[in-house]
Amino acid sequence: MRKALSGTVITVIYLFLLAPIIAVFLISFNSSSALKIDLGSPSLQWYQEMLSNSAFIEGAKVSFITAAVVSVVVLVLGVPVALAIARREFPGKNALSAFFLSPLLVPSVVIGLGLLLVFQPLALTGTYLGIIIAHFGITVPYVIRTTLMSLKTNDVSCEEAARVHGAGPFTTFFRITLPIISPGLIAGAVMAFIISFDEAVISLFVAGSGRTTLPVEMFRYLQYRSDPAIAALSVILILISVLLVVVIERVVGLRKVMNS
Amino acid sequence: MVTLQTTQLRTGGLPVKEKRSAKQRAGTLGLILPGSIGLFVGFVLPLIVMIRMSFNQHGTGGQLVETLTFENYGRALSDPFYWQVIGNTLWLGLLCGGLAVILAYPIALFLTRTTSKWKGVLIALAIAPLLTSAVARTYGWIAILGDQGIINGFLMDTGLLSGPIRLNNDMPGVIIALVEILMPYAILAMISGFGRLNNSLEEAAGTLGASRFKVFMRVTLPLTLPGVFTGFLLVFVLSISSFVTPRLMGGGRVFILATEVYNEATQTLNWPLASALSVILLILFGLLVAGYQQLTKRFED
Amino acid sequence: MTSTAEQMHLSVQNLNKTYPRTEVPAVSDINLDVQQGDLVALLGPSGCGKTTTLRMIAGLLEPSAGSIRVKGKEVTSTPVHKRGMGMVFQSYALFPHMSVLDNVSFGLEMRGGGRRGNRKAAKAALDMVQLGHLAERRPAALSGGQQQRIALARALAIEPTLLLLDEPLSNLDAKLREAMRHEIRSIQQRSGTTTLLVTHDQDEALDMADKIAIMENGIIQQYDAPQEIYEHPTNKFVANFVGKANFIPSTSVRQVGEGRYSIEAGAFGDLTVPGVVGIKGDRAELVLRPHRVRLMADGEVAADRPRARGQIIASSYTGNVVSYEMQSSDNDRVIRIDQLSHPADRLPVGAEITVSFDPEDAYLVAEG
Ligand SMILES: Nc1ncnc2c1ncn2[C@@H]1O[C@H](COP(=O)(O)OP(=O)(O)O)[C@@H](O)[C@H]1O
Ligand SMILES: [Mg+2]
Repeated sequence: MRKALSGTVITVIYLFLLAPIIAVFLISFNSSSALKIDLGSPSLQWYQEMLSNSAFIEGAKVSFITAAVVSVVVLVLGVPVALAIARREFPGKNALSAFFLSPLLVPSVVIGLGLLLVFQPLALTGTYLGIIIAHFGITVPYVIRTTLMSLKTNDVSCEEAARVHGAGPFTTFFRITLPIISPGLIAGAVMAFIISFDEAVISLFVAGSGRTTLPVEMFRYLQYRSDPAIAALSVILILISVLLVVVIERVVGLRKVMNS
Repeated sequence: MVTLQTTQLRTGGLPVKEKRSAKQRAGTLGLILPGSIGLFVGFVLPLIVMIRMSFNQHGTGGQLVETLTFENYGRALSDPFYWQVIGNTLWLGLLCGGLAVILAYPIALFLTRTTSKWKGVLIALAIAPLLTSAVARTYGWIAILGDQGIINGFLMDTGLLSGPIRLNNDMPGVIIALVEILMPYAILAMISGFGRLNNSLEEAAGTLGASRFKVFMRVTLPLTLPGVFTGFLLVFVLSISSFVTPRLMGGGRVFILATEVYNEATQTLNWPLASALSVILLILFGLLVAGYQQLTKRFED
Repeated sequence: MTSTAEQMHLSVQNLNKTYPRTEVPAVSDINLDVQQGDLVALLGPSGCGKTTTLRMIAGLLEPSAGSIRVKGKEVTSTPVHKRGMGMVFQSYALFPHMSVLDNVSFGLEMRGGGRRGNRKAAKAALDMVQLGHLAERRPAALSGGQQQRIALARALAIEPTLLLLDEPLSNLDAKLREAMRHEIRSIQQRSGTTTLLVTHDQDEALDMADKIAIMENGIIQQYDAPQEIYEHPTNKFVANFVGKANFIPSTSVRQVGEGRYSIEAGAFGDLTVPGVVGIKGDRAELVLRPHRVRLMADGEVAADRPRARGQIIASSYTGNVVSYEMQSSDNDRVIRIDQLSHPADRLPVGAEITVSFDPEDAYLVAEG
């Protein structure tokens, strides 16, 4: 009896948690433009509609390019910082690691507004460069965190053993450190990709009238319309996320990344 | 003669060591400099520019006047509307934080305790929404709660209602959607905070004759409270800075700091005021996080 | 001074290390000369500075002061990867993403040389530790003992100027540990590699080393051959740390020759014993190893041997040895006696006994 009750509670909460995703999924196959679930004659018309919307296609292209570049840039710039924090002694180390996690503590609207104020005079709004710079700050904490986690769980003595047996600092990094921490790096890069790809608020501020990302296009579309085309698009996005989550899970294990 | 000796000394032990650690220091700098510059440009500089902007003036013709004035703060803090906005923001945070924690707690407890072979899948299901776009999920809620949405549609089709009830386009809809969107963070925070909880402790209390309720109140709850605190703080902070959901689901009737900042910045184009509101949001944010941390620290001691 | 330093294979002088943000030095004024081909053990309790010393010699840690010379050449400021040393870490630190053979040939590869030659040399090093057949495996797939040997092969493959071993056996179980002691020692002797072994296990040090440096609180207390350390400890710490010891408080200490003293040793009365040179004052402690204390048969007389009577208050049995604790009749002092066991000789607790020892087997040290 008690068990059944708690089972029901858990199930209901799970349903609540998954409700929008389920709703989106069902609605995407609607045959009318109404938002209610209408599975009498499932159709793919909204998928076609979505694919013929040039704003979505353009937005998807921008989002994809931005997210790809951001995840590489953030690795190239973030990993050395994590390396310094984990492996070197220097004054102000704690302050530095707090600094690199601090973007997580500032509301997106605030960062977005600041970026808009900087970008507008420089004509960087609505450009790839602008969006990439904007996404750097909010993705770098994740890369630093996953890299630090990898560096801390792996014994320094492997690197020391390489050094003693004749490897210089660079060789040690590329032959020993990098291969050992690569699962953490991949996880960090995937997280950075997802965050950049899904980010809406900051992108909205820096979009101006120029190029913009898919979430921003969706946001703008939704301000005036809410037909199932968005549902179809959302289903695709959710599938991409699921795919990436599976990648993380395979490479390092989801809980490890989330708990770090 | 003396100078010769000192130069000879200089090539000996200590200076070499100094050279070595100087090289090391340069190496460390080389590691942290590029990333730091990136973060400065993409994060610190915008904040500085924004703070400076908040002391400028929005001219009568809409042009920007460079000065140093507290006018914007004065305007924001003397206008009852903005007090209402601040109040709404805090209220939204409290309500979402509270509701999210209440709903997340049973899930987190269940996920910590379960020995099911589906545990991994269940955890993934609980936190995977985190990795799907907030815009997509907000849309899902619009579809569920909207005037022509799933619930109203169902109620009207079955004849239970003649016209739609307003679930969307107001505070309740925003809260329902935000709670759902932010709940995974609370679940995550709790799962990692529940590490100290293990079944044997509770079982021990049970065998010592404590009732289920007592076991929960005396063992389970105190051990899980730190995780609950973290979860609440996280959701609170994320909801007072949320923007997409209040904007899309508020139907223009939900006024919180984030939406006002956006309006002033992109519609009214009053940058100084938008900046001042941002600074207020930032300060509110900082005070709450700091105060909350003090509180939990005292509680845990 | 300089000339001996130049003959030595390794010569460490006045080495000091104070870690950043700490007050007390982790090691102070370490002086250590190691001859070509010797195995020297750094022995001491955990936290005494052994690893710190070893890491400075390896170049992984920068000394606060002092100098390190290898074959007469100053290496204090040589970067770690140019020192040509081999090292086995406590955790083995095998590269998890490389095969066993790649692990072992890593050091050779860093030194250049042809790939085929390197692999052949690495294979030879693996054969030396009898693991040639595991060359293609990954380290994670191997047992602790096997990993340990691979770490040793990796360090030896480069024919290091100095082999550094940091508690190499501490992660192995007791049986394997003893077997590996002898294997390491024999490989070390065959290859003639000068070796520094860090350990907190006195048996290991006594068994393996040509010389032992006993460390406490960052200071070398004594640096000598194992037998000297055991028989002639320079102070109470060394006597207590290496082997078991009774300390008999002695009064009226008077020097009667170079390293010889006349003393009054409690219940044992007046004696003349050997001891550390230069004990000051009239009080000292007499080190008496438990197995050098003899139980006397009833009525036995040993005219010139010091003796004391007492009662057995405890006994413990470890198979080959029985240990008794005797409370001497005149004071509260407890003396420990180790006897090779035989079922017929076992004495019950409470038995009255008389014990004696040869004064030449005892050794006087300053009060600790
Ligand atoms: N990185 C470090 N920073 C500060 N103190 C250290 C560090 N490493 C070791 N110590 C201290 O130095 C002393 C000697 O340590 P160590 O050389 O590791 O001892 P051992 O190897 O003999 O156990 C200890 O008191 C230890 O706490
Ligand atoms: Mg050690």
